[in-house]
Amino acid sequence: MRLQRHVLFMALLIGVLAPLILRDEYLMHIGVLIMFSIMLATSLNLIVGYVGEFPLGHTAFLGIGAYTAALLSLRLGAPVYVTILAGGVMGGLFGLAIGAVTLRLRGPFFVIVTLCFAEVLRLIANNWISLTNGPMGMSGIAKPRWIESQGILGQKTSFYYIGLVMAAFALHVAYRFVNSNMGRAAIAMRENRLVAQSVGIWPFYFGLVTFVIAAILCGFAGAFYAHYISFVGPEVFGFSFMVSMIIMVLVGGKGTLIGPVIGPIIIVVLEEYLRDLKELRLSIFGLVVMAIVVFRPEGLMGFMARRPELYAGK
Amino acid sequence: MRASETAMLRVVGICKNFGGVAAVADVSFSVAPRELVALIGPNGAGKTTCFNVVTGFTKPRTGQVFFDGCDVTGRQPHAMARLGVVRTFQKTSILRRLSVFENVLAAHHLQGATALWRTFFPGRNERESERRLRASAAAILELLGLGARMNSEAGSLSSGELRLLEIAIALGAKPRLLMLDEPAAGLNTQQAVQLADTLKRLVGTSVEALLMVEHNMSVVMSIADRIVVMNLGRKLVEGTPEQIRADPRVVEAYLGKAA
Amino acid sequence: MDLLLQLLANGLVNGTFYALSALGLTLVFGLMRVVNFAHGEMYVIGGLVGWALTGLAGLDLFMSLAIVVIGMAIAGWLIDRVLISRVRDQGEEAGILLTIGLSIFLANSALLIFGTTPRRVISPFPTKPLFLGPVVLTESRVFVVLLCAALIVAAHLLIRKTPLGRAMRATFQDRLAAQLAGIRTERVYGFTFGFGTALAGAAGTLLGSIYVAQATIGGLISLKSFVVVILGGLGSFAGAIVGGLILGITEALWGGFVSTGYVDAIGFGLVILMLLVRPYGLFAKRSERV
Repeated sequence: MRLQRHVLFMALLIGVLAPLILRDEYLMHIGVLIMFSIMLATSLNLIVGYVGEFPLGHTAFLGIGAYTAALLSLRLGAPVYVTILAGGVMGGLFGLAIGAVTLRLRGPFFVIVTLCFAEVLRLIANNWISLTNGPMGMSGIAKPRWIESQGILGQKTSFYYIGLVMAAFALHVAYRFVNSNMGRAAIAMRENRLVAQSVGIWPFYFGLVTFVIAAILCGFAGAFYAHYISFVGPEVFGFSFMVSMIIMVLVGGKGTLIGPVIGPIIIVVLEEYLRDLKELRLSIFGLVVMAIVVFRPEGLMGFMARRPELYAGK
Repeated sequence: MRASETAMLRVVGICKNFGGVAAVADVSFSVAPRELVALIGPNGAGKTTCFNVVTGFTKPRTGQVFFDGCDVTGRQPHAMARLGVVRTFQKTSILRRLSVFENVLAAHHLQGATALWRTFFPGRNERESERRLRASAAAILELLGLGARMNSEAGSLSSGELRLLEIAIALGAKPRLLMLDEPAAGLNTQQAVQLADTLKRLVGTSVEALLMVEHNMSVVMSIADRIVVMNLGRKLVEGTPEQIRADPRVVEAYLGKAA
Repeated sequence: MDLLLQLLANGLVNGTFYALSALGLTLVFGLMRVVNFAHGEMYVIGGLVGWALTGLAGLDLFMSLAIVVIGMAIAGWLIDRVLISRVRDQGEEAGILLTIGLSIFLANSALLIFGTTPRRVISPFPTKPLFLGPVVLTESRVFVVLLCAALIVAAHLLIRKTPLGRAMRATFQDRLAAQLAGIRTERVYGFTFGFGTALAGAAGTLLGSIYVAQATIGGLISLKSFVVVILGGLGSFAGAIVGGLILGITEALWGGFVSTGYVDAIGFGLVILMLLVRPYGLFAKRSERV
């Protein structure tokens, strides 16, 4: 745990200083994507790594956050800090509703029913034209005025720092959660459900708490995305975001704190690098997922998860 | 000794079927404070099923379970743990990938419960609570003789140590009634004697009462206050070790009728 | 009344299609405990190869179907031996992730090879309307329904009556016991997965003559198949048929009487409802766990 914390602080330091050195629009864009991806990966990792289930419909909360921000911003002219907050809150509410239903199920049933929820939301976004503008999506989402007034580099750098703060917040939330009594309960539940129950841990409740926290973080990320891209369409509920999240969490190592940082960095860089091979990109991703599952299921940082906590004795 | 109104645990008329088979039929017994009760019987007698019914892992078809006079029949396992009824399992159940210390610390969950938001903004109370929990976990491990193995990965323990770890985990949940399912399984004679001694010392100190399923007769005879004998899902007889030892029905249950 | 009958007929037709589509998925789960998330992609490949054989190579439908079945069976066998066998003992999650990766790979590769254009498998059956009382169906649909039914019956016979089918069932019930009885369980798993793949591919080819064969529909097919399989019970043969019919009829009725926009959503609604009320589906037997 100590080691992970040190590495994360180092990463934070690098993250804060990087824009001062790399004054480049494209690199800042990559930076923003990385921050966004870290938020998503941290969120998914809470469920995959600590509840031990695979929510293939996790994009539901990303989409809810994005559409909430879009609607509040475009229809009510709400300022950005309100929309982002609201994105998280709505994500949490949907997380509560969806989690209460889906967490009674395990394994493939859980996977499929979460996917069904995400699909229903996508269909609603696609069809409820009066609310969401259907497949045309909602465009022209405002950026904060103090960002709008800057040049392109300034805009991207500003979004980068906002993203950095939000990613750091997400990691802080995850860190606090994992190291708390709650986190221990979630881990116990993941490792051996019978033992956890016999010492007073209510699997459904802890699953739900973890799920809602993850949904809130994902909602924040969705709202951030809406303001950065300025456009939200039904694709935010779609599978391509899910693929990215899965592969980032797997590559980084599920159930660790650093995994959701390393994974996104590698994947985002890889995606940009493979931009020329754009069409082959997904095929390669598919191969990577299979390779990890077969050869290295713990991911890159997975070996860290296995280091048992050392008791600093009296 | 008859089941009295001051019994901690009272099981009345439990019946449980699996498919068409009656695993448990009309079983009643009780456990009073400061008692160490052993549940014995040949394999398939229904002992573990009784455990499952009492701790809520299975619902009985009929019958009731009373704890401290309250009807707790069918309550979920975590709710039973909250009341102070904690069990171990027949097949080794530990958190294999965590360290021995982490296993027992995790079991302290109920003691460390705080408000949800405090999880993210811990104050001095939370830090103090953490210290207490960690100290308690260490103390329990020392008590059971696992102090030296505190930082080892739980999965690497020997079978004797594993049984002790399971008991340590259960103790971490601060039970009033500790229910052990075959704690001496896989132990050699010397380990079994030590375990028996440890268990006897627990009653009245760390726990109020102890109920165990056990096959090791020397352990049972040496420390049980009362023994309940089951066979083919029914209660055969109950009594003190001396009474049970002398009862021909018990011998017959284990060895079959003399030819 | 006539509208109702027409909708029911459409529903039964679509339902039979859904049943065949989902059959491979439920059997692979029922006999191997693997949830194949690449199921939709296998359907897609069946459809696209079917188009290539009938449209480009000019073979007739039955010949193409035979080639697809044999080819996909071999492909499925290989996938099992090379990939799935390595994670077989690691629990369900590994299988899920592996097949998700496979589905990503197959979907994109199909896209690269065949492009996004929707294709159609050339069918020898005309699209002349057939009048059954007040109900109108095209001849091609009716014939494809009959072919679907034939394939379903053939699958049933294979599982129930042949030595291979017995070996599959034995291996699923108790792998060790099957091995002790001399069954080469690794081979049986390969055949089982090949069987599921072949069924998916066959569905793709047949239905590709009515609907489309297109690289992008894999996800939707997978989702619909999951709906069917959950309704009927994961692993249940009869469940796939009943589930398929229920889905087909419900969609037809909803689309006819309520709205067409959310037709796809009704299936998901059913799944959510089902998982709340009877999570193991209509036909699965729930066993008590201690």
